[in-house]
Amino acid sequence: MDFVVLGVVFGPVVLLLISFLIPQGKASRIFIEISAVLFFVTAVYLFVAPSSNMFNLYIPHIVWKLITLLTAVFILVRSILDKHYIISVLAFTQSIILAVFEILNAPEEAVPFVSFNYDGKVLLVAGSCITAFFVPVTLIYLKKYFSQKKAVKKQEKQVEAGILLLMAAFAGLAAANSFTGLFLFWQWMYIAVRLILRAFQSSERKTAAVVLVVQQAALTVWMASIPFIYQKTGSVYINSLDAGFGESRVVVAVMAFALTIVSGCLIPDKNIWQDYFSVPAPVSGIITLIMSVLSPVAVLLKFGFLFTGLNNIILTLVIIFGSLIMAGGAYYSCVSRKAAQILQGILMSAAGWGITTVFVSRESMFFTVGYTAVSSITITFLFACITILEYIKGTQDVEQMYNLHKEMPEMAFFMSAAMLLFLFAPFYSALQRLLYVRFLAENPVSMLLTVTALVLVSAVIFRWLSVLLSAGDKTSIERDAYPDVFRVILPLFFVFTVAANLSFGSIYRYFRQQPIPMGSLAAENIETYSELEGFLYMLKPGKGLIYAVGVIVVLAACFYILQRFGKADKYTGNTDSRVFYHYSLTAWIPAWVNPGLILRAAWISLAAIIAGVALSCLK
Amino acid sequence: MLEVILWFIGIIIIVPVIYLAENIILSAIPGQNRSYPIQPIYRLIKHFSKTDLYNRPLTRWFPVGACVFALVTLFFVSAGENIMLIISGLVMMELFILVGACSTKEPYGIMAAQRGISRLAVWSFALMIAAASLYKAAGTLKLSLAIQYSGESILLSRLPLVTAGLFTAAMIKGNLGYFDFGINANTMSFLDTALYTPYGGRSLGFVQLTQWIETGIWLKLISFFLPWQPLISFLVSAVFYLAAMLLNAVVPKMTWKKVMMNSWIWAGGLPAINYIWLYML
Repeated sequence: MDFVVLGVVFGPVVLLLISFLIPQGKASRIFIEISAVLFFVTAVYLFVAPSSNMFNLYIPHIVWKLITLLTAVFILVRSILDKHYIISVLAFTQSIILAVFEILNAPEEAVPFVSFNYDGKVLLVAGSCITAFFVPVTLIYLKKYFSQKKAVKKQEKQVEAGILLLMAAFAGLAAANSFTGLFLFWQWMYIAVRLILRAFQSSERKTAAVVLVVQQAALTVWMASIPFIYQKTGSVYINSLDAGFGESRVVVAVMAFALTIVSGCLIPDKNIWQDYFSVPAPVSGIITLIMSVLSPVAVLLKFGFLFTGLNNIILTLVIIFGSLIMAGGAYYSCVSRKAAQILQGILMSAAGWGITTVFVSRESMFFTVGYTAVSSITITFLFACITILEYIKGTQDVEQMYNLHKEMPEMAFFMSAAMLLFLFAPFYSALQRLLYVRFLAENPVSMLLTVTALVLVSAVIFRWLSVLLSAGDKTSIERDAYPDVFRVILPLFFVFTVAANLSFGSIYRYFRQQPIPMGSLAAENIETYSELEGFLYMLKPGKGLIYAVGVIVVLAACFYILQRFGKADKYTGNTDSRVFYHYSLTAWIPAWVNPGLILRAAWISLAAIIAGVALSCLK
Repeated sequence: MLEVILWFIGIIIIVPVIYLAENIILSAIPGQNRSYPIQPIYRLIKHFSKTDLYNRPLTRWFPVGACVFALVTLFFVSAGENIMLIISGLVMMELFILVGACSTKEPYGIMAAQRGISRLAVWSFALMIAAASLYKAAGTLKLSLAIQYSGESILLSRLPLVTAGLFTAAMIKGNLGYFDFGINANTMSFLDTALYTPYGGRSLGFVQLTQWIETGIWLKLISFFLPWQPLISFLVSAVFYLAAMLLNAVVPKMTWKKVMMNSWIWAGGLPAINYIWLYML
């Protein structure tokens, strides 16, 4: 097994163990930050350097099995100590299945157990970039947060440990080659999120507890299905499903889909995900980005070959479910006022996009990987901005961001430019690619939902931009000072965000150079596809580049003029007049219409139909 | 290229003529406000001759940005470019107007901008579905290629509701009839409309110019879906738009929430039905 791959997946766990030896405080924070940067550097090395066999390390199968069993037992013990008896029953069941399966069948694990595919590498780089830049901001924020709460250092330690384990789990999910591996790394993800949520434990977060139980139930079903798959295929290797699995493929595909949705908490229901992520903004951001966006897409890409071979009914339903997640996320971002919730809604929308688009062709997989990676980085940048804003101003309410262009001009410019970069994709490039790649060509309902989501997300960004550039109601403005760390991180992260957006086109060129694995689905139109004009290919001179540069130059000019002549900008009328609070974008919907309820009914019905169709294939 | 330039200049000329025609016809109708025949042009010149009432540098520059985007988009639509590029241009133009309205402490302007954002969601949805339908019917997003398809097989016969939806979207942007959000500039009530409260003098002139150019963009866009020669199609869409402007004078106004419902039903619903229908047939 490649030593570097092993390092990316298990390095954070080793660092986690080392971190326990470091006393809590500044040293511990610096250690975590260095770990995040190391994670990023290793991911970039993996992306850039071709895989070599020079640093191979043989690890016996039994080691993986023991780690998996130990993880299940750890959850069992921990849940008993926490008095989460349902989870303990489920973890006990998992442990028993694992042990019995091992005694009866003793299956050989996939070789290599973890390895990165070309798409996994892109997502890994995006995820590690997010952690490298966002973790320092998060830790500085948490230092202030915990000092205000007078919390014990244990909680801070839990969050730090959770972040390290989150990195390992994400890398593992992107690299896992076997069903057992997926089980193991989803469990790590569960433990990581559980650790973080424990640090911000609230008795009001009952739905989150229910979600955790459902996640464990889904993992138990997954674990229970591994012996069944092994009996059919004689292997626990994911790609062994490719041949001769019959109609049971549908059930396995739906199980993989359901596990991803549940484990990623991608349920388009405000009560569920808002409650689940009701933790401070940066923490919710990092969890959502890794657990709900990057990891689900990375996992589903592994099953791409399985989904593309499914019958149309189940595929259509799954695609509709993806677009429903997209529309749901966009709707909830419309009705939220807190910046973190808005961004979470947009992230859910991005994740829904990934789920909708990943299943049809190699082109759509490439597109999904590129879009997910770049949109995640861009939204993380916005998350970093609102974290800094909350750190300095103590609020993340969008309505309180009036005057920002005067108080924090660099921040307002960075945020506006990032939002505009994000806007270009939905309005120009995205729909064009949806149509050219034709992955929604046979799904008009999905296309309508997707377009609705794109429009709503764009409207939310417009609303936010209009607030950022508003005059506000203050007559005297004092410019805020940033802590030095933020002053360094923010511009650097902005440059990375812009670079990620500008090099979007290069991702396709990268894919084009990669050998197509297994030859299961040739990328027939990738040549044409990668040459499509648009903002995604901004490195190439063309209308897209001119247009994007034009917008940013005009925006920069507006900011410059504002700064240069801003002092003269005084309202001569009633200086006490208060700015209007923004309408909700859904204020026009009649009171008797409840979109949240409609969304809930829709996802429950769809989930039931998908399950029904999948089970009917078992006959 | 010459044809594109001719279209570009032609549209810039024709749209004020439509507004002049509306003004003249309405002045001739008993019960309507009487004004000078060239009142719209005169008012534009008058705006440009005045300085802004308030010293608001940022607000002053936003209409200029919007006007630049309107001109670029007009060029794209004249050249029959990719419809997504045109949508993008219209959206950026709207962004500058809305953000400009928010950039002062004028409560009416800010309130109108909020309605404007909701309105944007409707017409951009209509345009994006129109683009998807166009691709489904003609296999291209480039309008110059779509018009070739229309020559061989009438596009209107496959996309009648999309065309109607686009016309409704144009009415929404022009604040006409039952689609009047009460925030935009009408010919006779330009100064009283909320979205433009923060602007004055030259800024207002740029706003009006932008609106005229935008009307031209919409008319040209709709004309691509009509089955006749480009010039005739454009004139037909212009005549329909003029008719809608005249009807607007006698249509009662509604609350913005009701208008929003109407807009979603007609501008959003019609193209969506047409889009699904394309799969059925």
